[in-house]
Amino acid sequence: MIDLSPLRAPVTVTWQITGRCNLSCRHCLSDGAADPEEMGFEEAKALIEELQRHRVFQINFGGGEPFLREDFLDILEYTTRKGIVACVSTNGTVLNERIVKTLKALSPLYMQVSLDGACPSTNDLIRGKGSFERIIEGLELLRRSGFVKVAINTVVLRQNVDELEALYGMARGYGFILRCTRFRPSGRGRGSWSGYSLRREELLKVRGFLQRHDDVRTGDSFFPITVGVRKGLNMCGAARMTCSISPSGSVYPCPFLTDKEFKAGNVLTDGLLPIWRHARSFEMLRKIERSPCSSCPFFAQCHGGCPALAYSLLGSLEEPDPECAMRLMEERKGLLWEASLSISSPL
Amino acid sequence: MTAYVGSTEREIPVPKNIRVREEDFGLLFYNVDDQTLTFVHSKRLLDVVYREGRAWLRPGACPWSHGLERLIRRLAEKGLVVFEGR
Repeated sequence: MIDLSPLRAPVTVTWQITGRCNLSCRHCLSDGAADPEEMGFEEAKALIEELQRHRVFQINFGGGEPFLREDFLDILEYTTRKGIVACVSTNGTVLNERIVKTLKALSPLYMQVSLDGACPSTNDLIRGKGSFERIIEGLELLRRSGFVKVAINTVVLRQNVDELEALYGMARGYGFILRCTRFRPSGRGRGSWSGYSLRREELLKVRGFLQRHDDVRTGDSFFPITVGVRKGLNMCGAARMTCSISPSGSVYPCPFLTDKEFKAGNVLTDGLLPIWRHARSFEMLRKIERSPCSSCPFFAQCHGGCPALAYSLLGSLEEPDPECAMRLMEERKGLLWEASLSISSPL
Repeated sequence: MTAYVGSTEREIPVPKNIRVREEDFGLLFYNVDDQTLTFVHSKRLLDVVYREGRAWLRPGACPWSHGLERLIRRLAEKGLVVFEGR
């Protein structure tokens, strides 16, 4: 059982600042619906002040598309003025000279621009027609403005797995980094899982890619896929290091666990710290037992992987990560063994 | 800015690109430039004070000692505090 004492407060908070979006990406963890109870500016400021009081180091702003909020630049300005690092995940299509000029004056600020293919046909299949060109314009704008803390963020899918090297080259060409994100069947992604998720050989390709390129960031739980070949994060940070806040202030352990049973409270009414310390769903995440994994020699390097994926695909947080590389390689060995048996059976 | 062992206040400045907070195990540092975390299991050896928009460390439960100075030197080597010693 993993039962580490929780930190006094989250290290980072992922804040889905709006549900509104101008794109309709196949894999999106949200469904692009506007939240009628989206926090207002004064509430957002109060939340930032609360996060500052608890010494939360970083806010990851996402959505929806954050820049569709008219007051988003003011929210960012307030965040950085309070000394909190802001990290913005944007689809890049609404960036313009005025926005980028304002962003340039903010620090500390990290930008993540989503791009899901190295060519229009791949990206647009996933993110919508014409989006590739607009994303590239956004990236060019950031480059011309001298932004350096920029990541091209790619959700790795069956459709783009063979373009990872090209995406890596593109990011380097801009002077940016590539950041890979795991696809999980949450939000709109539930409906597209069967057609877009990675199959065994593709998952192993991703493992090889991440092994070759140590400078590719993997902000979230890739560690079950890279176990044994890459150091760094070794367990899920949900409810231990981080949590997720919805546009209306609902708190969840992570953006991929937003079913009713995982709602831990609302920051506007309950306050973040009581939720962080006492919410039932957070306690549940902290006490997960991944018994099927406990005898694995790599257990200390992944602790069973992503609970959200196990929950979505297998119905339990305590099941092993279904995309665990060790299991996939064992399965492949098993298949090879079966194949050799079938070849030798005539003898 | 440098703090010295012999200084009256014995407060050690934390660089502007470093954030720090107290945890039950000790101190948790965050580097703004590369977003890395450093967990320092120092228990109550060092407290954090916040002043003028930045953080400072000072001796916590125990008085200044060679052990504490060694710890601070290690933190300085990692760029987590500004410290040059006596």
